[in-house]
Amino acid sequence: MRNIELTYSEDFEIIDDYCTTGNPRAATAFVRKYQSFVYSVAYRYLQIHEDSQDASQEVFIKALKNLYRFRRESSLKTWLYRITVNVCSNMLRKRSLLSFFGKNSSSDELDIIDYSTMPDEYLENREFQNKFLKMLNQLPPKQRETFALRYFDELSYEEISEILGTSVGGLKANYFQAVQKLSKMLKNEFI
Amino acid sequence: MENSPKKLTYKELQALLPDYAFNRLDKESAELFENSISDYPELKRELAEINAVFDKVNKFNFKSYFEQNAKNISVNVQNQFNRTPPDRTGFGYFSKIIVPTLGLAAIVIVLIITGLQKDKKSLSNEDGTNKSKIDMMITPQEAMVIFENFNEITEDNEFINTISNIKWKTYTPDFQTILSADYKDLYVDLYWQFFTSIVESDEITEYLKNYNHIHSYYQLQENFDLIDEEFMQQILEELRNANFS
Repeated sequence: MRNIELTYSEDFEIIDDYCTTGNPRAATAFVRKYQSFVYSVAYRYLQIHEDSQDASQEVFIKALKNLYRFRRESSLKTWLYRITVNVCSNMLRKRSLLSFFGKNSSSDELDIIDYSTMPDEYLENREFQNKFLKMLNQLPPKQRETFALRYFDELSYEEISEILGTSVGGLKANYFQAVQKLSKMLKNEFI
Repeated sequence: MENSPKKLTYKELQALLPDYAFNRLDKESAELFENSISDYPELKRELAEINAVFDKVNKFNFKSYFEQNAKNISVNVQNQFNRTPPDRTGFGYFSKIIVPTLGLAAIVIVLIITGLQKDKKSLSNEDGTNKSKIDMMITPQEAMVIFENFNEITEDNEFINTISNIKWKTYTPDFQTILSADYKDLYVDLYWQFFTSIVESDEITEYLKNYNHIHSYYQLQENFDLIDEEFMQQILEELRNANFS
């Protein structure tokens, strides 16, 4: 399945192919290339697997519909990040409105996954990953996003600066503080 | 004199510490970091602590964790997208903005043209000669009955201002071509009479007795073109029966 995205070596090839021919292979390659990134951003904002998947789908639908408008002044990742944050903000607003009217959104139904058939090691990993992501969400948003974009997504400081609108110097300070805080939280967790 | 090797400041070390801890520094920067951190024992301790706790975190493959959770997205997007075909380059803009705008413009143009043709038809007699609505609806004799007691009304200053305004509007080239010279003055007077009433015809008599309702003149002036023949005849009937004493 991965050979589909291998036919495009650069983002602009995907954009050109999709925008000129509407090639569904280009759309698939585009989604596959960025689905993990978009999902991880959505998950940090929404913290629920189902909602994050829904948000990611919405992001890609919007992105594909507007791909011809992408001006290539920024990277596709930066553009997708902005769309994802907008979609997640809307979903959070909707969620708070639903909870205001007493209607339970999926936020009350945290990841319902049948773990009984999974190996112990997998469960342990899964548990730790969830715990770590919860710790991450205790950080201030700027520190959290700086950490995630640098640590998980391995973006350069210049790219993160473009996304978050913070200077490179400020980002490095944020990154250090985030790592310092997470280190303390993890230490407490392990002791 | 030998140059002492370059050293990083405390702040610079802090900024590089996470990247050093997670092996993201290039060789040169990493060496510089190592040479400089020995001057700051508290940062060294901090680094040791971060290395210890993140050792476990680094073992987890978060990338595959997210990939696994996101694996169905491409399929779902494709399914959803098949239901709503994508916009193509430039065509989206064309179909969403330009086409509706052109369509709307065409409708407006058609409405204007048909409206003009309708007006022309309504102002033409069967023999093809142009006569105004007024020509067809009342005779000068009828008008004389209507305006029997007209003089005392014209004493009112507000009325005079209004009528001059109406006259100015009435003597536009359009009206001059539509109305014959004989009926022009009559038309002006009738026009004024419409402004002395309001749309509800049963209140016309009342309004004719009380000329303070100047705003209604403007109201009718605005709506004059919308008054249909039946309603106009109703107004004329009321005017005939009006008691101006």
